[in-house]
Formats: sequence, C-alpha cells, structure tokens
Amino acid sequence: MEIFGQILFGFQVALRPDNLLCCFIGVLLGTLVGVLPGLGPVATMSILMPITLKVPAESAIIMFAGIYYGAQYGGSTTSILVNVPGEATTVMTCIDGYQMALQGRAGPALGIAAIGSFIGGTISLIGVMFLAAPLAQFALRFGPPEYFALIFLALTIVSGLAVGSTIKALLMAALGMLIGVIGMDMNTGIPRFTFGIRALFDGVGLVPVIMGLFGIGEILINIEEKIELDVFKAKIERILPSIQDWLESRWAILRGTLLGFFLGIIPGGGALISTFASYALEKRISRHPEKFGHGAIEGVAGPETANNAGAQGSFIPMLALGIPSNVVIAVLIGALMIHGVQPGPLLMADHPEIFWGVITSMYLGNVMLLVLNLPLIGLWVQLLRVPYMLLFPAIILFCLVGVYSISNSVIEIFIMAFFGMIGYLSKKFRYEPAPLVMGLVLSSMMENAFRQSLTLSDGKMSVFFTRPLSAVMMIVSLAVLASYAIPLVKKVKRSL
Amino acid sequence: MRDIISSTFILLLSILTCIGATRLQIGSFSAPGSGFFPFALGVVMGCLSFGLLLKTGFEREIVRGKEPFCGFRGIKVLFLLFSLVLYGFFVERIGYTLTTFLLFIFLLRGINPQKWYVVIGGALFASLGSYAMFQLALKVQLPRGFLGM
Repeated sequence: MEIFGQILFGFQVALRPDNLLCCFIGVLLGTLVGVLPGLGPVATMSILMPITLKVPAESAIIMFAGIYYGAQYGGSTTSILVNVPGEATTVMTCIDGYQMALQGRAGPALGIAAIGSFIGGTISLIGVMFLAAPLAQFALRFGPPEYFALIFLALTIVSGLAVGSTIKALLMAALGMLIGVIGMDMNTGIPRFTFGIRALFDGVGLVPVIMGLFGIGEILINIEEKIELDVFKAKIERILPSIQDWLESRWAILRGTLLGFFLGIIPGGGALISTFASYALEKRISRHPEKFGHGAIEGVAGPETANNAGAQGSFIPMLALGIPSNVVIAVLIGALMIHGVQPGPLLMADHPEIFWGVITSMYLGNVMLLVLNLPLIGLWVQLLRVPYMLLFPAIILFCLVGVYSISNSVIEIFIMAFFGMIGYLSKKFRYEPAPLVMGLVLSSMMENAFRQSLTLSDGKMSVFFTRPLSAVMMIVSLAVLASYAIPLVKKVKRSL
Repeated sequence: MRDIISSTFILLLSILTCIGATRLQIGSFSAPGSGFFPFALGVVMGCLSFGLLLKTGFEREIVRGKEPFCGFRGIKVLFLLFSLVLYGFFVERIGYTLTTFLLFIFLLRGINPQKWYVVIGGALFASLGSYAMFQLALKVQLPRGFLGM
C-alpha cells in the first residue's frame, strides 16, 4: 500500500502549476526537436540547462524528461513525411512510414505512431513505478566495488552497442573519462591536466562538452553537407487509424511495449536498440513479411511503441542506481548533479519529490503529447519547411548564451568551440560521441569507487571478484569485452 | 587511412597521458594517488588505440570508403569555428548585442548567403530579441561591454 501513497505524492508534485508548465514546455520542445532534423534532445537539454538552474531540481528534470520522450513522438513525423529520421530512434519508422505516406496513408501512419507511443509509454511507466523503487532499495547494499563493477559493465555494454566500431566506442569512453579527471583531485587537492589554466581547476563542464559535440558538431557537419528536405506535399486527412489498422497493429504495439521496456533497462539500451529489435521481430514473425518495406502498418506501430517504452524504461537505472543507460540519461544525471542532487539509490529517500514527481509527470506528459501530436500535426509539418540555413544561427545563439550563462565566463565558449571541432572530427573519422559523454559523466564516480575499493581492500584487485555481486558484474563485463576482442584476435592470427 | 591517423593520434595522446600521470602522484595499489586513475586510463587508451592500429593494419580487404575530407568544403566549417572563437574574444569587450549582431551578419551572409534584408533583419531580431528574452525576461546575465548591453 505504501507505493500507492508515494504515487499520490508524486501526482501532488507533478500537478503543481509550475511543474505542469515545465512538463508542457518539455514535451512541446521535445516534439519540436524531434520533428526538426539536426537538433536532438541531448543538445536541447544542454542548451536549456543553465536556464533551469533558476527552477527547482524536480521541475528541471520533469522538463528534461519531457524533452526526451517528446522527441520520440516528434521524430516519427519527419520519418513518415520526409523519409528523414528526426531522431536516430525513428530510423526504422522511415521504412514503412514513408511508404504509407506515398500510398496516401500518412494520416493513419502518424496516428498509429502517436497512439502506439502513448500506449507504450504509459504501460512502460507502470513498470518503472513498480521496479525502480525495489531496485533502489536493493542497490543500498552496494559498496564501492559493486559500483565500480556496475559502471564498468555499463560502459562496456554501451560501447558494444554503439554504432560502428566497438574499439572506437571504447576509446571514446576512455577519452571521456580522461576529460573527466581534468581539474582538482577531490581527494588530494592536486590539479590534474589543467596546464595552469585556473578556469579548468573545477574541471571541464558537461554542458559545453555536450553542446560542442552534439550542437556545434552537428551544425558543422550539416553546413558542409547542406540539408534540403523534400516535405510530403499531399493533404493529411484522416489521422485516426481504421479498425483494420488496429487489428493489424495491436500485437505489434503490445510486443513493442514489452521489448522496449526491457531493453530500456539494460545499459546501452533505451529507445534506439528497442526500435531496431522491434522492427526485426515484427518482420520475422509476420505472416506477410513481404509487406515490410512497402507500407506495413506493423512496421510503424512496433518500433514507434518500442522507442517510447524504451525511453521510459531507461529511467529505471537512473532513478534507482544513478547509472545512465544512454547519453540522454547521462545528461539528465548531469542536470541532477548541477542542481546539487546526488543521483543513486538514496535519491528516493532523500528527494522523493524528484523520484516520484518525475515518474508521475511522465503520465501527464504522455497525455499532453497525444493532444499535441494528433490535432496539431499540420503545424509540425509547416515547421519542417523552415530552411536549415535560417535555423542553425538560432541554434548557435542558444548554445552561446547557454554556455556563457553557466559561469559567466568566455572560457566555456572556447571549450564549446573546441568540442564542436571534436564532434565534427569524430563524425568524419567515424567515432561515436555518445560514449565520450557517458565516460565524462561516470568518470569521477568510477574513480572514487575504484580508489575506495583499493583502499578498503589494502590494494587487492581481487576485491572486485570476491564479493558476489561485483564478481558477477565483472565476469559479465569481461565476457562482453572478450566477445569484442575475439574477432580481432582471429583476424590477426589469419593474417600472420 | 582514416583509422591509422586517428589511432596514431590517440596512441600519442595516451603516451602523453601516462607521462603526465607519472608527474602527479601515482601512489600504490593500497594508497592510490592523484595520478593512479589517469595512468590506468592512459594504459587502457594506449592498448585500445594499438589494437585499432593492428586491426587496420591487418585488414586484408581494402575498404574503399569515403575518406574523411574527401570533397572537403571545410572552409565554412573553419569560418564558423573561427567566428565562435572571435565571438568569445570580443563579447565581453564589445557587449552582447553588438557582438551577436555582427555574428549573425556573418552567419547569414558568410556561411550561406541570404538576401541583405534577411541578413540585417535577422541579425537585428536575433540580437535585440534574444537580449530581451534572456537579459530582461529570464534575468540571465549577459556581457555588457562598453555599450552597456
């Protein structure tokens, strides 16, 4: 019964006018950045982070969470109407969604995407509510070795699931951790890798790094490649899917919900992996796999449901353990830290307003998104017609004001420009920037857990393998690493 | 070629990291110092970049992918980065509105030329509108410079 009291408390927090407003702004902005290619939820959250310092932590996180799951809704619009994914998580929607639009069925495609997202998100939230709290209780037993092992596991899996080369992803994670050690050592007070620059004594901030990598880096790539969108011109008439559409997509929605939720919990999972898995599953078990790629409504309903269920499932490791399962959640954890809130299993006890307020606000956000996405679809289509060459200066302006206002220092602008260049080069050299952010966020946590573990065990590295929980996580991590290394070793052997 | 350049660069970076970490206090396993963790990271990065170098070297089939700067239209990229650095240098001296106005003139005319009325109108709207929004409405402290705004 206790949990129902906590849920009620959560609704009291989420229904406060200021939090309702933050939730609405979050989902509205999320839909907007989801619709617009070239600006994602990570960059948007970073741009807004300094502004949210003026509001309570729970309001800021409610807004950021809204941006994250709102972007999953919005991304489908661009995928269906333009055949360009607004978000990476809506790549699979392009395949059948755009075909449906070409066949004059853009309305039902958009409708099933929005309704599937709503169902997936709402059911997934029930899982979040009932799983996050017991997991947080369980995690209270974690000591430094368990935390080290957990972070190690998260980084290993995230790197493996990154797009492209695993070695490159691991390198980026290590590079992120290295950037994370810049600044004053918290234990000894010795400045590390600051090169005498006083502004670096407090470390490299998360916000200029993210804005540089994802905001400026993306713009640099886009102005080089010149984005031109060919927006679907025909009028969108009937939005609500027909009974036949419902019958064809009901099981895909249910499967997408379950798949998205469980993949969302896993580190490296979340919305992205869920959509790929859902599309593959739907195609494999379909009685008419030949329809996929030619406008099968299940190919839209499954992935669109899965990405929202996954986005909301990925809040579990954040709320219960303080561990990000993907880069967006890493930014959310960064936002909590900037507000002076330590994420982790004590979050529920120390800040119940954040824990329960954020969870319950997502119910309200899902309803708002349904209202925003179905009747206002015409407005979002118009937005797609804004030329990118007019849009990018505005994004730059928000980035500049955002980073400057963190500490009123131009150093942040230089750091952002530097990481913009890194973001551009990482795209050029095919390195995924997301593991770098994960590494940066987790760096100090991992170092502290590592040093504390060694100090407690009098320098014995075996401490990570003698405690059951950490041993299991370390063995899994090493097995995952071995699975990445084996193909490389085989290749080298063959060449010798 | 792409991976050889990047992995060599990171390998060098990892060596420099290890050297830098030894100058801090590395300590011991039982009492790790400030340089312990960065040293470990340097070693990990070194191993990974060496692995990438090996992988690239031993790849039998030549991947005929696009090279990173094939068809490079990087002048815009360099201009944009340079403009951000210049903005950082001048914004506290000249003030937010004028620097932002000049930046927008450059972005709207230099990166992808728009008509002059769009450029001037856009720059005015962006500089004054954002000043009103951030400084006056949201009370974000923006650099004042000699103009006081």
